[in-house]
Amino acid sequence: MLLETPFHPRTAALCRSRRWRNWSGYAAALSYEPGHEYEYYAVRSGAALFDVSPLRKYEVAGPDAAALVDRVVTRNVFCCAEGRVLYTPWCDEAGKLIDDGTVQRLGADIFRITAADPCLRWFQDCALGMDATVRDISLDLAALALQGPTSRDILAGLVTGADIAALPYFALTDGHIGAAPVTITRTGYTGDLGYEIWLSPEHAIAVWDALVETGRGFGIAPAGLDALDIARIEAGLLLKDIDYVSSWTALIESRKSSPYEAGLGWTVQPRSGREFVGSRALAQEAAEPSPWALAGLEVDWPRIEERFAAVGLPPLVAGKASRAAVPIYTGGSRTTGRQIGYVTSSTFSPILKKYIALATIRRAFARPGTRIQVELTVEFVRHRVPARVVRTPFFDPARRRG
Amino acid sequence: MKQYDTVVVGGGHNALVTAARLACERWKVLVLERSAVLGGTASTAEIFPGCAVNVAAQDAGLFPADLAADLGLAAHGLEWARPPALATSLTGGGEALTLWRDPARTRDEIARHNRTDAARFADWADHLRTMARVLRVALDHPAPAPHDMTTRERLRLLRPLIQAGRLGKRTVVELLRVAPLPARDLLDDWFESDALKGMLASTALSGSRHGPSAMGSALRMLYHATGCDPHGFRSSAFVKGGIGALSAALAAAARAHGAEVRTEAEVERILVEDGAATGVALASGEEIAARCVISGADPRRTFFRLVGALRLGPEFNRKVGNIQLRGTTAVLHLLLDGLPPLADAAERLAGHTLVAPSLDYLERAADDAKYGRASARPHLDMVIPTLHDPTLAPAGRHVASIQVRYAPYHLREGSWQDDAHRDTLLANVLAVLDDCLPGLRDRIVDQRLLTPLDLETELGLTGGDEYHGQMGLDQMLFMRPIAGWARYATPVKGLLLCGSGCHPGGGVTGGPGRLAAGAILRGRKQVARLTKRS
Amino acid sequence: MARKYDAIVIGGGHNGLVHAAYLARAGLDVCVLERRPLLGGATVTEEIFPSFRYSVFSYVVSLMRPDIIRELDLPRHGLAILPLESTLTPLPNGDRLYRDADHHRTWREIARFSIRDAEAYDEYGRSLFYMARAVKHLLGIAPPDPARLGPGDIRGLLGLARHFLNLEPDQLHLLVKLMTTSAADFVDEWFETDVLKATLSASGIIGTFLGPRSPGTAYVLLHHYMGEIDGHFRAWGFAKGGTGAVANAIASAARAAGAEIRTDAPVARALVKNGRVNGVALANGDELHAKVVSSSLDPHRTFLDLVDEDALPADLVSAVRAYRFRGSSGKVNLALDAAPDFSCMPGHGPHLRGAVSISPSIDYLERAYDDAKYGDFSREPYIDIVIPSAIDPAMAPPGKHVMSCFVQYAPYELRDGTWDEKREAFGDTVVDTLARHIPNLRDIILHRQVVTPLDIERTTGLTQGNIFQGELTPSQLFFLRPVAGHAGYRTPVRGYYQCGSGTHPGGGIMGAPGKLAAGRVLADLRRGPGRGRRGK
Repeated sequence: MLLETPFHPRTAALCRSRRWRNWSGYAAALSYEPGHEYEYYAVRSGAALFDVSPLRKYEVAGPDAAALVDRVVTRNVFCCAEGRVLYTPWCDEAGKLIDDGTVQRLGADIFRITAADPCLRWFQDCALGMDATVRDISLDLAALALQGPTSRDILAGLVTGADIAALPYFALTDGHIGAAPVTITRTGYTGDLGYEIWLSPEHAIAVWDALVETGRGFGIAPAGLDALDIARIEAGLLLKDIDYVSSWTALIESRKSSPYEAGLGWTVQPRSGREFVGSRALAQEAAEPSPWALAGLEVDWPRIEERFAAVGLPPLVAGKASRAAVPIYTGGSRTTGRQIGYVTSSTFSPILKKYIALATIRRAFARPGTRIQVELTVEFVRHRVPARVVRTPFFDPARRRG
Repeated sequence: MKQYDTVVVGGGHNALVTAARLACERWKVLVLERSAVLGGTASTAEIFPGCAVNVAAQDAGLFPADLAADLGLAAHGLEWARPPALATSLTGGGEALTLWRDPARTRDEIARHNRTDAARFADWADHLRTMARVLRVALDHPAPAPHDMTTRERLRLLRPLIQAGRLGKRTVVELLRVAPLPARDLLDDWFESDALKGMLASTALSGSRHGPSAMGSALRMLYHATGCDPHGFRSSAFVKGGIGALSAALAAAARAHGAEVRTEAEVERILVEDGAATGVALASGEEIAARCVISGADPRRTFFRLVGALRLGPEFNRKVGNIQLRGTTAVLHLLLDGLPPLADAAERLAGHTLVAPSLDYLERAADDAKYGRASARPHLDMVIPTLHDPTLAPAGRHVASIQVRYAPYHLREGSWQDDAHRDTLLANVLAVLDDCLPGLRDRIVDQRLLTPLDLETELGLTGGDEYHGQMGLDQMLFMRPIAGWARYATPVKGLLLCGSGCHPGGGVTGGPGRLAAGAILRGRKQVARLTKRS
Repeated sequence: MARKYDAIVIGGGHNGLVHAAYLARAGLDVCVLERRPLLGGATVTEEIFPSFRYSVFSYVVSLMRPDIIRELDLPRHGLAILPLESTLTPLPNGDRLYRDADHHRTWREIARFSIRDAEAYDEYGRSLFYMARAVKHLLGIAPPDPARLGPGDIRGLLGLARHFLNLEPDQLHLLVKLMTTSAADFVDEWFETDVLKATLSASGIIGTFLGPRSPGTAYVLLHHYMGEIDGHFRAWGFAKGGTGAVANAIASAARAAGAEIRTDAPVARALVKNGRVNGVALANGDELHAKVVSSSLDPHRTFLDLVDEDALPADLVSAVRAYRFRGSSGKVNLALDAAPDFSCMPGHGPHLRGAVSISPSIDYLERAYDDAKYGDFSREPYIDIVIPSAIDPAMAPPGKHVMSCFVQYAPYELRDGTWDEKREAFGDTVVDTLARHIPNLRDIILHRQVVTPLDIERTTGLTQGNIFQGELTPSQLFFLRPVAGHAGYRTPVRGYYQCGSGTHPGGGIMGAPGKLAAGRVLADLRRGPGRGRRGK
């Protein structure tokens, strides 16, 4: 039986599509309307409201809280000032990815960590010998993501006790929406201007109503996971279990990835004397890079259209993100090309009018500009279409950080 | 700051063996012992005025003769005492059954109880000796490390296999069958007499919280027979001057080769820089640098207290946390003004004196421990060292040291800090003694009870576990102390282990100390070879 | 008149039938001889009470080898295995632990007790998956003999060494731990919740005379975990029609392959002449002849009852005498007028289609063991309950139910009295224990069948009523099962084979011993096993 999030009374009423998915045991709308195009465009032109309550949330507190978080994650937490937020993955002792999320520094000795999957036991076990406690606050905290160009204006008019307009990228502030105390972080999973709102479940309905009410003039739309998936691929953001497999669930060694292999090498931030979980393995990998890397791909759209047109079909891959793994080959003819990796997520980007993909690929082919081929199945026949390695994010509006 | 090749943490007998071996190879060695006397579990201290009392361990029958010879311990004052009586079981009401080193005498003694058993005992003694010899082969070699062995090392593994195979392939297979058995099953196959079975099964108890019906207890019987000839019981030998004299001889041997041995020098921390051990810090604040640090402390104490969990990964820490450290033994020392009124007391009580009248008795004692309480009717193993070395106490006085089982470290209700628990345990022991050795109580002049908690605080044994980790199939060979780390090395470079927590295991065996020294020297040679080549 | 066969199989239990089916498929003229009027041995369904069908002894199916199901085409012969997905553990305080196939729901249920445990539960499941995968290899091979060291044995041992060294270090270590430690210590490394630890470790005591804290029980836990249905490990199943349907399906497959199966045909002894077998003598005096005789009975019967001791080496005889049976379990089968109503999960619900385990704490299981250790049945026993009629309505009239209760500990040897005197007291104890969790139970019992270890022995012939034909402890596994030197299905009597659960890989409705033994027989006859792949 799927659980209901604190916003369920509202989201259920709005979800005319009746399309729900199991997200960590909660019912999460895939889209509210039968199609998700409108919800996607809300992200890029108005404001999309996502219920992200099923995220796991942990609170780390105590004199050693900073030291503990610094021990767990790959990024250097001592660089994170109070009131700031970090995106970071965390690894096992072998330096393989376990999960990723954001670390919010609420105070000198108190942090909040979001994670895709349960990590309490891991965080607690890392705390052995430290004066810090870790609590699972997943049920104590409801969460909304308000993402899109008008999100700032909506919140600025609504939040009291905080200067939303001045809130920098990856910073947090406390404030009120109506009578409800909320924490607002300028973070999100869309690569656009956006905020996440963290609040006690008892205020969930009131805050939702206030946002929808105020947002009406700013093009607010409740949005589901289908729209989110397209937006996050455009932003080049990874999805656990799709773009990388957690070392806990990988079952076999070859499925595991290090941050370097997942394009998160920039999050590995050693400093002199710093030991974090996996640091030794990662230092070694930094010295001897892995043959695998993550790359963004732009697939040749006209060639896709051609392939479909050849059998008299429109390009059926438009519109929706795909999580099906697809083989990648070297350039050259069909017979000479060898497999050099696989696409993990792909989508037609409505804003870019391009077919884009995130891929795990041999490092030798991961340099931007490299030409490769991607498998495409049209009417039960496999083809290869050309593609090019490009930098991510695919879409990066200035307003994201501005 | 003075620079040593190695600092050895702890002055227990294994640490001293390692120190002596390394000193023999001209290493600059410093041994640091926290207490005033050396030996740790194998130490002798003045617990009663004018008396030298073996603090915890009594019997050094597992200490290998070849190791003693190698280190020239006899020259450093080691002298063995092997009284004719191996063990006497008190079966209640002043009755006793004694096993002797002389097989004929044992046969006659058992025949008074059961003729069939008497006839079988010689075969049993052979069987035990053979099985123990095969097991000994495994214990004398480094534990196999299935995954990180070079081909050369794998080939070297064949050596013990061939050696064991020479003792009989069938015997090796039989050992595989017998080792996991409950002692009860093994003994039921051999004997009828409850008294005899209880007595023999008592050798299966130390080193674990399990009773004789638990699988794997037969292995502990064999383990305790891997030293000098067990004569169907266990390897048993006492040290003149107390077991501390063995430790003193080891220290003397180490010193003779230039090692420094300091007492009352408690190591508080092992210093680690960039994942490598660089020395130790003493409680006094003094810091001592060394090229490597060897810890004789138990693994959990070494990793969690001396190194600190933060220096280690959470996955490794979980494994350290999962080591079964389960002290179940209390020690009661009695100062007596004479022997109890038992026929031939001086002769019969010179070995181990046991309260282990039947398998069920032992099992019930273990049941209590299972539910986190001390045994209402405990199993007792008493040794009166003054019977083989009268100089240990003033004339006319005797010291009886009793290992009391089961007294689990973790009590379900309350803790050993409660005097009530101590009093109850003491009363239980004395009540059992009243039944089995009437008149002993009147001889008691003074007494001192060491609970598992006392053993932890006084000897630094985590969980009061004198074996530094339960002895069972799941914590032996390459599973000891932690699977994958059975070769004395640790995740901290330059930090090695040499205590009873390592392969081959606990007891006064010197085995871990010897093998650790071997591993260290071999590792050093390999490094030397590699550097020469480059 | 003496009829001559190629092979005779003594005992029509599931292993005997599997064995016969494989021999018949290879073209041998095979005869199976079963003592009872019905086939199956301990794998039988009987209508003890009119219209209610009890799986009298064994009651769930998970270990049945998928290759046997495929090769013998058992579904065509009527085998249907229905999933048994949930486990309910009622607690004395009215609470419960309920686990089912809904991952998130199970997560939340465990998290009510401990979030850490809920997280560890996934990891535990993965670890056991690795372990099941690692030992799956062993289920398909005949054990080599390290003491004989013939070329085949050396090959076998090297193959094993390679197999295990190919495991990840952590997995090998875990496997060794599993083979040596106790169920309680094993689960202790993951969990802190007593009821979860107890219910998980309960599968480690089934069929043994050991408590959950005794080393050796962790292996039994794995033994129950390595069942495989449709590619998934640890999928418990229930055979439609009861476990007897499994035996009937195999028998049908054997008959289709040409085997003759005789019931009411108890074998008195195997006929041995000059160190080789040439047939069997039935209890009625008839003699049947064959070059190959395979016994699916337990080692005690195979070696000590069916052949003369003189025909066997003395060390084998003494080793078989030392082989441990120690029946420790009983069964109580109930016919119910209505569905049982659990106070911790009232009403009808999916929990009735799963297992119910009375195992509230490790101490509870240990105390149950303590009673048995000193020669009495447990005053508060461990009970594993399934309600077959909730899964397969054909097991009872509409609206009515049968309830199958596996009970431990019930020691074969009682210190005081006999099982004939204590049978009903034992049944009362079970009903009393159950009624604490099922308040309406006493009112709805229409009929009760109490099966003590003595009854198991009398009815099925299993020595001391041990359901596995001998304890599954490390001393009696692999090349030590049943005894060292005689683990390869052959016996010292030429032509006389063992094919029961007393041989590797052991008990449970698995069929592997029967199949592996058939491979040995056929290899010895220098004949391929016909269709399908070659037996090893």
